[in-house]
Amino acid sequence: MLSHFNPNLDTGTVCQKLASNKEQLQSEHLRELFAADPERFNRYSIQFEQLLFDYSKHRINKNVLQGLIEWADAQNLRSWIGSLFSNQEINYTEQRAAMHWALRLPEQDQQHADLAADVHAQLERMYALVEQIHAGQRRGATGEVIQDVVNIGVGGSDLGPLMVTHALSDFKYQSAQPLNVHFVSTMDGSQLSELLHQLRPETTLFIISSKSFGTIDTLTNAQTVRLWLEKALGQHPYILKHHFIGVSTKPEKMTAWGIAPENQLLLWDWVGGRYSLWSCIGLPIALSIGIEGFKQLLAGAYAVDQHFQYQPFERNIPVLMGLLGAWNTNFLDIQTHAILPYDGRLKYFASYLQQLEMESNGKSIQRNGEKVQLDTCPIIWGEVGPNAQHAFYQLLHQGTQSVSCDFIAPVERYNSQQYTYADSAEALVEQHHLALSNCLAQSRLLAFGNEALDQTELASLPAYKQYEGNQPSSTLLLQELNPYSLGMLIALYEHKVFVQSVLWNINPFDQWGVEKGKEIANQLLPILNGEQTDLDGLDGSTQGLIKILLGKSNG
Amino acid sequence: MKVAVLGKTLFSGVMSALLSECGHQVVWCNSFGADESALPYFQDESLQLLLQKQEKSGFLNCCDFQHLDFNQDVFFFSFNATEEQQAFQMLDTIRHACFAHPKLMINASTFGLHGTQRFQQLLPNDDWIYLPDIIQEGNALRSFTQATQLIVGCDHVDIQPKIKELLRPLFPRAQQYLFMPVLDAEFTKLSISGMLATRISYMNDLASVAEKLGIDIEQVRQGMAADNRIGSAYLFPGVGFGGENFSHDIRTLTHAVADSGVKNQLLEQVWDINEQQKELLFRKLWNYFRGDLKGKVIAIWGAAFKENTPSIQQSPVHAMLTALWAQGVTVKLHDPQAIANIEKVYGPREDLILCKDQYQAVEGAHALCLITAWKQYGSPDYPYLIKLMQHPLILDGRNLYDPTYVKTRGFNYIGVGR
Repeated sequence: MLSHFNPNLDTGTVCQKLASNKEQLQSEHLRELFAADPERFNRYSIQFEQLLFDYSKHRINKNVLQGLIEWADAQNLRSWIGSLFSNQEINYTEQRAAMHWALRLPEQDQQHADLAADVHAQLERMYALVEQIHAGQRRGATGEVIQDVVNIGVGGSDLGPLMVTHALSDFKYQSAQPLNVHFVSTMDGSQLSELLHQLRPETTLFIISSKSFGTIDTLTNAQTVRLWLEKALGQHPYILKHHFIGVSTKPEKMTAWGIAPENQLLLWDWVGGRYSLWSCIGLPIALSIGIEGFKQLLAGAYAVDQHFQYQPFERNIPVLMGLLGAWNTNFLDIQTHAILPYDGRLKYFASYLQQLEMESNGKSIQRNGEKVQLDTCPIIWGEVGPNAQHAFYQLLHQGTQSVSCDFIAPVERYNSQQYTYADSAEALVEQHHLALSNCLAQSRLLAFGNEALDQTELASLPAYKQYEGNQPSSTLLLQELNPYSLGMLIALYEHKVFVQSVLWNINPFDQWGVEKGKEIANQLLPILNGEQTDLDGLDGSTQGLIKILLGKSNG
Repeated sequence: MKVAVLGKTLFSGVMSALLSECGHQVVWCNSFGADESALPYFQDESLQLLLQKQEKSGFLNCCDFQHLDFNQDVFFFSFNATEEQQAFQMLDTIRHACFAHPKLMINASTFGLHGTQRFQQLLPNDDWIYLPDIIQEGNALRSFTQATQLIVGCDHVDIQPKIKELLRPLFPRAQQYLFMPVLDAEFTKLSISGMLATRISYMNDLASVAEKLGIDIEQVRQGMAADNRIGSAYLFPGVGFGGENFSHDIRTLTHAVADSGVKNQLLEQVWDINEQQKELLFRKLWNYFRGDLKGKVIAIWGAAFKENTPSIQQSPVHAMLTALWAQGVTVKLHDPQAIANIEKVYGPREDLILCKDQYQAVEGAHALCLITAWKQYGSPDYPYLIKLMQHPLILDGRNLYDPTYVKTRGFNYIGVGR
């Protein structure tokens, strides 16, 4: 079955068909689907380079899958993918293209030669800086070698680099002198206050990472560290020059702040913040895993870009991920989706996906201006699997909510001679096997329920010890977690999000829902600072809270 | 006695010269393979003279390893730390040769703790001795002959007379030998280097404080040296110690300490302070020019890790060159003996101009950095210097000059801790 666009397909009809498919499937438990088809795993799993996607534990059959693909066709997904991989302004509410894919173009790309040249010009500048720091030749104002780099950013300028840096900690680049990379994001300064007293201003370099260079969280943190530096080293522009790097689309704003032109790394309006870790926003990543590692990360994502564009939908992993998610949300009425990596290094992956998915698809107005007909993005949440087993798995197995899950695990771990674990590799490999067996056990129990238990015991089990099962999940196995496979994994989710936005006919690239809060905060700040006393026009609750806050700060 | 000296080190040269001078029949095996180039040449004039004299007299013969006659009474092994693999290969060859045991085997290489034991495992039927390398570059012969007491690592009392007989013409009295177990002697050797390094790093640490407090560390140094409990050796602050063997000893000792599981950070710090110190003049330059060094020309006097040697192993010059080049500086370098070694390491490059004449190096320079205290740098022609330089700045990495005098000649002067 090839996915040719069929002009006769109409979304309404397709969805009705899917709804009736759902009715038919309603009574069939996952264990029955497996019992009926010994080939189910082979039928519903895809191997793509270092990655295996198993979606056999979803509540689908052949008809459902066909219906879902027809839905994608009816929504013109093929042509939307074409628009994504072009300079069309598909982010129509901000009149911008969404070309994060261009950030991973190979340097010699023929199809988008100018774009690739632009992107690589900035990457090369970033690599030069990374090289200098790794060689121990980047110096602070006193000539001492930079040993700590602090990334100040929030949202996309924080989560992506933080998640990747943590995930690839085993691939840390061995620089000439020890180099530590830190992340600061919260506007209340709590991370900074803890960090600053451990650092020496002489040997610390700050990256001010803000796409707009206007994000208040980042700028206040930046201002605090600037004062901290100036207190120790004096107030001269040449001092700032040695301690601040800026990453932004706005060179003039960086210059006004005091970032020297040679320390300004640029990105473009056509990169969304949550899609920007592939650009110079990824500087902390390159500092951690080295230039070669960063290139591998880009290469992994590029491989997925190609896969997404050219694979038929039924063999296309991001398309299937998107369709299955929408099936669960819109037809099986599963309102939350859990991300469960069985690898401690993916600690921040769930929070990263929270931003990627919920900020992208948490929308309710269609591209035609009308309210959406279907539910859009579910609640995305999650935690490192083995730890979550002691927290919320109880609800997954025996609660009243339906939840779909993504299990993510590396096949091999502790397989290279990394200095950090070389001494206890054997014991650690066993721990990894323990984690893997737990990963499999949980997805099995979720899917099959009681059947996964010992049948002879089952008869005597009280109801509270029984498991319903029938909870759908995907399993993503990476041959190993490395820069390349992580690049693949992230890009898969990026494109999954796009697929769903097309199904729901929404714009995944804006975030108007986070703008207004910032504005209102700006109105309230003068009141808390005592510059303004007029509380009229505020609601009663806010007035009451402000009075308490002011009373506290006055007395 | 018939003595075979194996090795290309300064120690092997010194022993070949001295033992043959005493009338021993010495064969110095100083090239390990037929493909290797000529004999090692030591810049130490008195040693070189003595070696030539002994060769002429017939008491000293040189050969390569393939032509070495194994019919000897004594084997003396002195290898560099980097030659460990070759050393073991040679020992393996000797092991398979046919000659009567036991011979007196002297390990004079520093291969860390248990180094001698690893040799001994290959030739267990011989009498093994560890003789620490105490040769100072620039003062080679006398550093051995004038030792007040020789440390000798020796696990069996009955071997002692053999080494005493070998060295009797140089060290006739019993109290000139300090015998101890081999491992103790190996640790002693490393500990001596560690102590000396600690003194230097301590002085450098004090120097940076002195500088902040407006104290001249040179006064402090002289005061400390006047205390006879301290003495004057290894108290000079500067741009850091270097030298292959010395640095290697410190690293070996540091690792030995770390591997023992004892929590000890002193040696790590001694090393770190020294590494920092090697860049000191760069940081001074950086501050002076406010981090704007691009396109500047900097003259350096001295590349050797200390005066009277062409060796640039672990010399501060490397840290300086790397740091300066990273900022886009052109370096003009002079050294009376080490230029060839610098050329070997760095090859031709546009930002390195090697100068035969020390004044040629300062021509057009924005600053002059003194790294090695060669005597010929001691009293420069200041009026000529100031005429040649683009900017009158002297950074004195060895506190060789009198700051007041230099300043009255119209220079800006920056020293270490003053």
